[in-house]
Amino acid sequence: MVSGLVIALVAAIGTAIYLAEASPSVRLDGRTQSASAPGAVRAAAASRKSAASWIAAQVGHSVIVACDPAMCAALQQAGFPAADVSTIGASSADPMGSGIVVSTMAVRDQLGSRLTSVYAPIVLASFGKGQDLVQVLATAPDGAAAYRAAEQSDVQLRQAAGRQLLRNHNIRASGSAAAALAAGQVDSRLLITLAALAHGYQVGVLWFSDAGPAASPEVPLRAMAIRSANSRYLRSVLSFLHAQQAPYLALTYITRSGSSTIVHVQFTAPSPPGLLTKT
Amino acid sequence: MSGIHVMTRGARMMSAVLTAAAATSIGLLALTAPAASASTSSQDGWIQLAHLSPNTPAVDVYLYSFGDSKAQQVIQHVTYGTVSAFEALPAGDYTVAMRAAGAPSSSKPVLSTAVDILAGHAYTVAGMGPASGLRLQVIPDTLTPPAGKVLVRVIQASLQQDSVTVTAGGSHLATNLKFASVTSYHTMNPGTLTVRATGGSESTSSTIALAAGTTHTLVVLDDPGKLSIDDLLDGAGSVAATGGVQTGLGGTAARPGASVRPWVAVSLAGLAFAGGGVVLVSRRRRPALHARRQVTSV
Repeated sequence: MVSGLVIALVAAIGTAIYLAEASPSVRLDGRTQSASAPGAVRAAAASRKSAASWIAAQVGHSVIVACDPAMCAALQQAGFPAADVSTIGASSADPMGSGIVVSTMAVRDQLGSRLTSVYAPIVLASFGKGQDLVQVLATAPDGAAAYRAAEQSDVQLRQAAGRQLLRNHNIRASGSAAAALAAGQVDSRLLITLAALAHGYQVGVLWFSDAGPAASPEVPLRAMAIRSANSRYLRSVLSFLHAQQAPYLALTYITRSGSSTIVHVQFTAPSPPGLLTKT
Repeated sequence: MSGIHVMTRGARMMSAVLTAAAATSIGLLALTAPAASASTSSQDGWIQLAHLSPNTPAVDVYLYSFGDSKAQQVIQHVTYGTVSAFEALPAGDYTVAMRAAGAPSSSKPVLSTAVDILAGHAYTVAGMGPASGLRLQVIPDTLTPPAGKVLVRVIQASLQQDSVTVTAGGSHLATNLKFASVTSYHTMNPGTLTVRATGGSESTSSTIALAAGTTHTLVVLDDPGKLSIDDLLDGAGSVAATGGVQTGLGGTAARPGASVRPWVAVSLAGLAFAGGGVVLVSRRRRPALHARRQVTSV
């Protein structure tokens, strides 16, 4: 008797989940679109989930993220603070006021080509493809043209700073790390931190990384890996890094590679422009 | 390691007296020592550091060069109202970090900002805002006024008065200027003007001499229970009055934009102030660390 009830309950829940996932997608204006195949729905849900996980881990929690209702729900489920989520509804004219906008099919339908041509031109990360494509975009408060001009200027300043760091005798950069420094690909916060670290320590930079999957080429690398010489060095460097305040407070963690200890230093997205402003 | 050492209040008072007394001899030296600028190169820029956050305790400020791990500049025990003398630095990027005053240089600093020093340019890096939101702001300094003119700007560093209006003679230099903000430069005619700063509940006025070819920054400060105005002489051959900066010839070393002609003017000014200067300067709450001019309350 009891087992029969359990089976019935499981079947009912399973049916409910199937119906929920297979239900027609809903536009932000409330109208429905053609019903999607269950596989496509699952793919869209997977893209949303991947994007939500990436945002929760990589985006600063003081950044406002604009998204459609389903994406916003996924974000909160992934642990992103509800207070930092702004829902794009049918009456939303634009995503301005947020630092990040998550481009899903519903949002693209709502905002059209202006989404990337005006409001949010830079792709920080991309998940899925076709209709299931979910892109994490950085918004441009003063418009796309101003954003690109500021970004171009920032690249030049990062190049200049990176090349100076390459002359610093306390910095030993691998080939790829040196190339990234010289090309201006490294986030300003990492450059500024490196300059201070190199005053007190020999810093062996193994690599820079973390521009996000399928990010725009101009998105700076926000993470670096440095080799730790010994446990005393490790404690000292971590102590320095943990003493910092925003915007220079980074996430740090340690991995081992053979006999080497590697310190990973990672800043949140999006990279704030203007920290190396030419005065 | 080179260091910029800011003096304690007592030392500053003594130094102010000595400076005024020595003004004549410094001026005479300057007439025969224009080579003071030899200590800087054409690849240098200049920087001065200021503490303009009323409720922030004293800090030590460090500059780390991006390109040279051995190059470090330190300004020690910077208290509210302190402005260092200009220091010549090789052009390039620097990270600015702060430690609590007196903390060992090996202790953890907190990064604050970065500054890109261009050759031939000068900058003020000022701790601005309340202690809870302290930031180091990089303010470019203009050192070459139009011929026969004076450049004047205002920094509002009073927390007691949220905003102030500053007038000089009949000109408005700042209207309802918010705390922790700075105006652009105003071009003015030379002369001796009464400068008035008016906040919501307090006001103060001072008489300031604006010589042709000089650049001034007027800083509105909290003096316990009242406002005060500090006049910083930024450029065009102003004299680094005191400050103990390692500039080769002490207070007579070159400042941004320095040339022989202004040193002659300074020597003459030194003669003029030699008598009354002692009294005027020693009355000041924060005697000259920088190229502060004597300000007479009216």
